[in-house]
Amino acid sequence: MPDTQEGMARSTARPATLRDGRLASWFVEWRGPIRKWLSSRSSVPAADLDDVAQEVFLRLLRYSDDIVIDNPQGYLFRVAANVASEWRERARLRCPHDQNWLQDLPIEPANEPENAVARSVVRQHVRTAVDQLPPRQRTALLLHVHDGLTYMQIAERLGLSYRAVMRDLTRAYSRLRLQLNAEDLGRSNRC
Amino acid sequence: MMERRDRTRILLSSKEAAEWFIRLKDMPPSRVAHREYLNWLKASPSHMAEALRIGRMYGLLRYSQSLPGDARQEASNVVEMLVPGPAGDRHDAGAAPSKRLAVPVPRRRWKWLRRALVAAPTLMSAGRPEQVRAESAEDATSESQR
Repeated sequence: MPDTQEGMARSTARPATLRDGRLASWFVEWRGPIRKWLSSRSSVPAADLDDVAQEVFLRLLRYSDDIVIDNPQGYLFRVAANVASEWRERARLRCPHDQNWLQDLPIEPANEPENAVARSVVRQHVRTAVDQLPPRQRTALLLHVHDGLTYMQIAERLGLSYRAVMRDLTRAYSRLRLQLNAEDLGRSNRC
Repeated sequence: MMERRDRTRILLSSKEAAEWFIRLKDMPPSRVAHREYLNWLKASPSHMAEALRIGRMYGLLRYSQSLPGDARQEASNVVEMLVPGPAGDRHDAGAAPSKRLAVPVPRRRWKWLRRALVAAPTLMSAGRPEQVRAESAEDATSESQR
């Protein structure tokens, strides 16, 4: 099925209706297949993330430069989720005895049973990392993530320039990415 | 030396990925921006990897920052554990934990005192050891439930 979903890449002009409600549409995508990738419990071992990225990269290169993809970010996460699902199948064949890994695989992230200890550890890592951010970065990040404000709205609320908020957010995301270890960003199980 | 260079490269890529993530999420869709983003992604597999990581990071942040309800749930669980009484009685304890907590705790203390007073002369006279053990076991059990 993956390739049919990639069919959203097309060379036709983008309908004007897509100009409106773009944030709403982003979150509609968030609720859809893209959530599989964005979910913190997406079933990709962190160690495999680079391999998945490589595969998505190769697929993207198949498209010529004049092809316009509506919502390229959504496209990216959707393809990554598809590749991850293919990896899942490969893992099933490659590691037939790794029950711990297999048991979680067929389950959608939204329905995944609670693993309270592991999840609270990750949650604590993330909260600690967020708390260690410089105050302005932390404020901007929480408004962006938790309150769902755009960086322009954050700038207006905090009385800062767009550029300053973009810089704060960029640094905050980047710093967190470097601080949080691989296990926090995905499963570490691997055979 | 190599590690430092790698870290610098990752830092740069992750900042670029974060900026793209924010721009595409927050700004109206623009054909030019989409084309530039695709060009950036195609420039290096490491860009692709960082773009995916930023997405994962955003999901993780949303997950970890959106659980005040769970914190309350955990707090009510703690209260629930403090409430004595039959196990079947506890399932509805979360509904009004403070009310339930206020009543039984003093009663429990008096019960302990009464048992201690009953057990003391029994122990001193070394009589009826079975009952002493039974009482102690019962107390230990109810203690462990607290």
